[in-house]
Amino acid sequence: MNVKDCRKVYILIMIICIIGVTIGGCGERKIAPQGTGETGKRGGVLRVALTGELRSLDPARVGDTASGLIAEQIYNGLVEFDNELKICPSLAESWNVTEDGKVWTFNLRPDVRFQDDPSFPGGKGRKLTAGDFKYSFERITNANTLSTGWWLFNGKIKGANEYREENALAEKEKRESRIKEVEGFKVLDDWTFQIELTHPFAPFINLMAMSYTWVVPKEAVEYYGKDFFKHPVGTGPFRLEEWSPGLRVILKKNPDYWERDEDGVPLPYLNEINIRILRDNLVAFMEFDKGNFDFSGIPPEVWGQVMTKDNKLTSKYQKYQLIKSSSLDTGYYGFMMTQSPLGTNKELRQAFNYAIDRQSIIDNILNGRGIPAKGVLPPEMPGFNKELKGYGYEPARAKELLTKAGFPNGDGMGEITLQLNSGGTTLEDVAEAIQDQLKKVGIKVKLSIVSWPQHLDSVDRGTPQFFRMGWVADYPDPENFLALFYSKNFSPEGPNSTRFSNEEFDRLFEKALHLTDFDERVKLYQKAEEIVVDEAPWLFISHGVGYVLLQPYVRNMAFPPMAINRYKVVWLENRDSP
Amino acid sequence: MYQYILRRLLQAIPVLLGVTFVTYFLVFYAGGDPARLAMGVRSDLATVESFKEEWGLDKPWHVQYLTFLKKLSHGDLGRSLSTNEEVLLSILERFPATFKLGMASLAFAIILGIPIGIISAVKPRSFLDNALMVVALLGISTPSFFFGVILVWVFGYLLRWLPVSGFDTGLAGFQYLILPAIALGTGPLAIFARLTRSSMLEVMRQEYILTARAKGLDESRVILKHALKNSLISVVTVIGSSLAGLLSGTFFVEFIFGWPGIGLLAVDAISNFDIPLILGIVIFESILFVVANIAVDITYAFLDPRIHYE
Repeated sequence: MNVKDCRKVYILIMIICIIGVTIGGCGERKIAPQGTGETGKRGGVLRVALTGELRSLDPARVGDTASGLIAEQIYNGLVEFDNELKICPSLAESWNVTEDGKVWTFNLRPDVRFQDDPSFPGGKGRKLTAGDFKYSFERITNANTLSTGWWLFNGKIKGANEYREENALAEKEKRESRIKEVEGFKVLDDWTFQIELTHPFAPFINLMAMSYTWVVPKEAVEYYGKDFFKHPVGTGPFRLEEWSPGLRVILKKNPDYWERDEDGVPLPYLNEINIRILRDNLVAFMEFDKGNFDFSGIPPEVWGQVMTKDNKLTSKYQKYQLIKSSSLDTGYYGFMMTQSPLGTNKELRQAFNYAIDRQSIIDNILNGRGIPAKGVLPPEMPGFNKELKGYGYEPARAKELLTKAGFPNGDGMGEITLQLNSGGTTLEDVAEAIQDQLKKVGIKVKLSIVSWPQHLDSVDRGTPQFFRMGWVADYPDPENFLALFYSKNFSPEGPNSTRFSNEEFDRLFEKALHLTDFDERVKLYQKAEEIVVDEAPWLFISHGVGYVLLQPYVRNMAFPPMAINRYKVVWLENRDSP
Repeated sequence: MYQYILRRLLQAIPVLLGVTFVTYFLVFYAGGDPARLAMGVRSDLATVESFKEEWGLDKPWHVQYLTFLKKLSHGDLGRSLSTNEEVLLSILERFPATFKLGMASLAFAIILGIPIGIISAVKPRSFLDNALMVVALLGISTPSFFFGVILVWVFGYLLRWLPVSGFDTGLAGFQYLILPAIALGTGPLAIFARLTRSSMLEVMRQEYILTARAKGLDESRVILKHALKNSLISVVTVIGSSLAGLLSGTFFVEFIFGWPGIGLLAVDAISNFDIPLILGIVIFESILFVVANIAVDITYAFLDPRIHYE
């Protein structure tokens, strides 16, 4: 074979590879590292700093970030998000939905076992069946479980609300429930699970990737009773070895885990994850810099030492890998729409929005870790509208609008109270910057700093006229953000904390829920978002951007939006197993 | 003696009741809804109400308080609102860490504080005495949380001699103990040093010290055997109350060093508005305080034969 022939063969191989990569599987399956089958690239202990205390490892009550990070390694659900936030198969190999969008059928993998646990006969984990999903989902539905995830099914699943109400009543009256199961959760056979919705809900498949829907075995829940939260048993890549509250969590590789990488090598690659619970990001960073953790964020206190002005690593820190990650969140200050003058005067709210120099806040207070918010949806969110202009920094226009609103130079408006929660100097610094910028156009703002419980409670009651808040996506669908403006979602019943109400918005929002074509839905959501931006129930501020440092030997670690941490595909180069 | 202990324990009951009452009252009227916090912002009102019913949070505060007392009389502190863990279990799990830190900082304070006091008293108004007392004054005036942050920065980050956070059992855990024990123990160390000095100076003026010297006893024997023993009574009083303080006042130091003790648990309980856990910790710490004070009183009797408890 001459050189020319070699080149042809090479090109042919490349084409085959490209086609293979393009049509094969989803993102997560593509990120398997080269040559992971090599023995030197398996094993080892990942050392993680967790700056927060765990609350519960019961999927029915996993709501906080710290617990979610651990539980994610222990459990699986029907589907999961890949690094590009697309839905991928997990315990369901495939699924289909009827044309009317109401009946979802999931075909489960037949080779999945629960982790070994004393709650099973002989301590050996048994095979997963569709009945386990029915049990897990009915458990969330049952009012007596007090799950924080009931909102996922509320009003969406056939027979779920009836089941919940009857069970709650039966518990109160101390009798047997007359409704034994949720009509909409059906076991067709051992490997087929079906869910029937009351009405089409376009983003439904996203809900099936959320932590609340991870599957648990009935045996373990009943065996451990109220203490199940600290004895998690799932089907995931790692099992809980130790949880010392306030100190550490140790996860060990699940030797029976069902998933393999592209080369057929069983996952996870790591033998162990050693998580130390800390309280301070600065301490975590210092320990990372001493080589005691494998990755760390960059706290504001050391930002200038670690990063240059153009957000690159300074020479001292260039030994580390730097990963930029954006999060699906929007920071905003809400105007209580039920209160005058802010809630009743659109020009006034628009004036606030034009008076704010978002970029200056991001540059000077957030160390460049943010993107100015032009609207409701963060840029990484599918359906993000690049054409949306939003509000720029135009103080002259803000003054014009103030005059139009009936308050020239802020006269006659009095002092507006901005309520925010305590819990970090950054929050207060941002609030003070906004107070200062508003003052420049004549708007006087007084800050009221209260504890988080007080803040949440008063916003629920509709008391503060102007308040700090933020929203982090539960799932990557515009519906999750725009639900904050739907008039049937007023707080405290729903997440619409500003009590925004607009008939046209509601019409577009409801119409989009019934469509199955994502592009069609996006068109409606973008129109709905334009209404929100024009009406300005929020003072739009920023979307978060994060930077993470990795030790040089860490491979395959990704920080996709929504804080998904799949340690099952992480490996450590030249680090032998302990 | 037993009657005295029993009487002191009985006297502690109204103190504990008072503490729980004030805490309950303050927590209840602090504002905020613990049920909303526990159930998350996405939960509907009905779910939040179910939670309140389940935990009795829908009842008037005095009814909740009486229910709490009733359970308390059976040794039941309830379960945490945020984690569902038994409150007593949570506290008992964390207490060994707090105890370890408290004892280490007390040992640090005694081992250094008393000798410093003796050295100062032996050479009063000398340069060494003045220098040690200025340092002691700084030690008393510097809050432990501030000192803790300085230690973290200097020894943990700049010099990198010691880990700034962590906990382990056995000898391996010693490296984690050093910085928090110093941060917590420096205040009591300074107090012990100043107290030992003043107490020693007073005793050194007594006639029996003069007699001892006149008998030609060695100076070190006069100081250590005759002066120190009699100076220690007042120091022991302060050591006892410091012990209670060290076991219950570790909030900031535990937070800074990520030390998994009761202080850290309390910080979590307060930020989560976890009423049963807050009350459980307050009760536990109050009992510690009462017991430590009784223990100090009993120690007097052993140190000073003139003291008798009827």
